[in-house]
Order: sequence, then C-alpha cells, then structure tokens
Amino acid sequence: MTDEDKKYEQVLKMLRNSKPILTESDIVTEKIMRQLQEEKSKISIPELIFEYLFGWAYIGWVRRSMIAVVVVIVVLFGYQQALILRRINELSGQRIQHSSLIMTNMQDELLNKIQEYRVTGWKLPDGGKSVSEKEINELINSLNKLQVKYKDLFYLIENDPRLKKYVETRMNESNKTKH
Amino acid sequence: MFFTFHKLLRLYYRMPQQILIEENIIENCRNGSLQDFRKLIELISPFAFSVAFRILADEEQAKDIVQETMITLWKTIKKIKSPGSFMTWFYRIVVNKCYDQLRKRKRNPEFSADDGTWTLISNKMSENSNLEIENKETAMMIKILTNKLSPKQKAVFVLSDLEEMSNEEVALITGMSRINVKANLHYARKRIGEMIAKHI
Repeated sequence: MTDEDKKYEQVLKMLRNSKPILTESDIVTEKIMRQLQEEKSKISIPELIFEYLFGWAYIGWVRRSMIAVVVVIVVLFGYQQALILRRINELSGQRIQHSSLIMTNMQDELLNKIQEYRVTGWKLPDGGKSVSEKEINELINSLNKLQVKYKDLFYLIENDPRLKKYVETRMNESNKTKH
Repeated sequence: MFFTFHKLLRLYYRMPQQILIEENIIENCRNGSLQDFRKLIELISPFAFSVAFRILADEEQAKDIVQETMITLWKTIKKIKSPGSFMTWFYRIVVNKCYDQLRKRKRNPEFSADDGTWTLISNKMSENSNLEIENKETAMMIKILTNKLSPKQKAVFVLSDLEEMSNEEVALITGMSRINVKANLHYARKRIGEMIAKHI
C-alpha cells in the first residue's frame, strides 16, 4: 500500500466514523407531520372521489392481473390482424381470377385466348400477376374494332355473288394445298 | 413465545445499516395511518439525513431533504410494489432530491477551496482517526474532497465508501448499471486521492 493509499484510507475512516447526527430530530418530525396534516386537510372532494374510484389500481395483484390481461389482448389483436391480412391477400388474388372469367364470358374464343395470354402468360393466375385496367380496355377496344371490320368484310362478300364465288374458290384451293 | 416468533418473521432488514422495520408499520402507512408514519419517520430519518448530509455537505439543506423525502414517501408509499424493496425506494428518493439540490447549486456556485480546511484534515488525521468529528467540520471536509466530483460520482462515493453499501445496492438506488457504478466510484476515488496527495 502506497503512502497516498494510506492517507486516503485514513481520511475515509475518519469520515466513516464521524456519522452525521440529525440534531433536533423531534422538530424535523413535527414539521413533517404538520405539513402532512395540512396536505391531508387540503385534499379536495374530486381527489377523494378519484382515490375511491381508482385507488384499487395501486393494489399489487390487481395491477399484475391487469398487465396479464393487456398482454393477452395485444396478442389476440396481433393474431387477428395477421388473419385479416392473409384473408385480404387471398381475396385480392381471387378478384383477378374472377375479372378474367367475366371477360371470358363477354368475348369470343379468340379474345379469351389473347386475354388469357396477356393476363397469365399461359400460366394459371395465382394472384401474383396483375394487369392494369387500362391495358385490358385497350385490348378489348382493338379487338372490337377488328370484329366490326370482319363483319363488314363478311357482309360485302355475302352481297356480291362474284366475289363470294371467287373467295370460295380460293378457299377450296387453299384447303386442298393444306391437305 | 409464538407472538414473538411471529413478529420476528414479519421483520425484515435491508442495507448495511440493517434498519429493522416491522412490515406492519409499512402496511399501515400504505393504508393511511399517520401514527405509524410518525414511527417510520423516527426510524428512518437519521439514515436519510446521513446520506443527504454526506452528498450535499450542508446540514440545513440535508434537513430540508429529509423533510421533502418524507413528504414524497407519504405520497408514494402506496406505489411501492413490495415491502422488501422499501429501503431501496426510500434511498432512491433521498438521492434524487440531492441531485435536484446539486443541480440548483450548480447554477449558483458558492464554494471556493480553503487552505484552512486542508489544515483541519491534516490535524485531525494526526490526532486520531477514530475520533468523531462535529457535523460542521465533517461538512467542510466532505465539501472540499468532493467539490470536483459530478453529482453521480458524489452519490456513488457516499453510498459505497461512506455508507458502505454494495455495488448492487448502489446500482439499485441510483438506477445505474453495476459497471457504471464501478466506473464512477473509480473516478471519484482517483480524484479524491489526487486531492489528498496534493494537499496533505
């Protein structure tokens, strides 16, 4: 032990031995009691009502039970939220499938195939792919225009016997070459 | 015989001073008994005074701290989770009140080191270290030794080295981690040691 350490220990010992003495402790106690009495008489009626109504919250076992209940409620809430989110995801996937089915009923076979190709890329829709409404509208419009033109052309052929005959001949020739 | 044994079972103590307080007293205080609170004040106020006096190094301020502590204790005694943690709770109030007082003092610094105090320490050391010193002299000595310490270091030094509490107890009272307590104590001891070496 160095000389410095010895000195430090000596000072420390001196301070430990000289324990501060609370003189006039009676006066201090009286002052505290008087202040407490004053504060007690100052307590207003709302404070008393509050104490009566919610004083039980200070009871240990009540507080602990309340904490346990809160934890259970929070866990349940989290579980429900997870369930709801999963359900929403499932429903949003189903919406795409249904919309493509509705389109299928509305359009002819060719449109179905194109639509299916565009929407799913020849894969079954699993909810992961999405096509914008604008893209589908553009596709339907162009197909509608094509259908109208096709009908006009068909009408012209039907009304012109020469043209009809020519087309039939050409088609027969074409079929023959295919076979 | 049974009554005495039963009563002994209901006694508990904590901290190095081994303050024995009947559990009934605390329970009655929690139920609003001012009579029992008076008993509690008489039992524990010397300990509050000792800690406050050694941290603040001022007798009058320490007495004020005792009063404020007791008022706060009365208001919050219902919030104490278990009677076993009563003394920790009590010392925590004292230390926090001392911090507030030291903060106020920091705004209005009044202390300047005095050579006379160092001479007094030297004289007392050469006389007999077992001799008890008066409050006033003790205050002067503590003031000069802990003047350069931060409030946290002062609190840790007083609780550990003067009140002889364990690091765990100090950590519980001050709300610091045990490592922090050790670090603050090391720094406080070093500072005080340097001052002693320089002046004595």
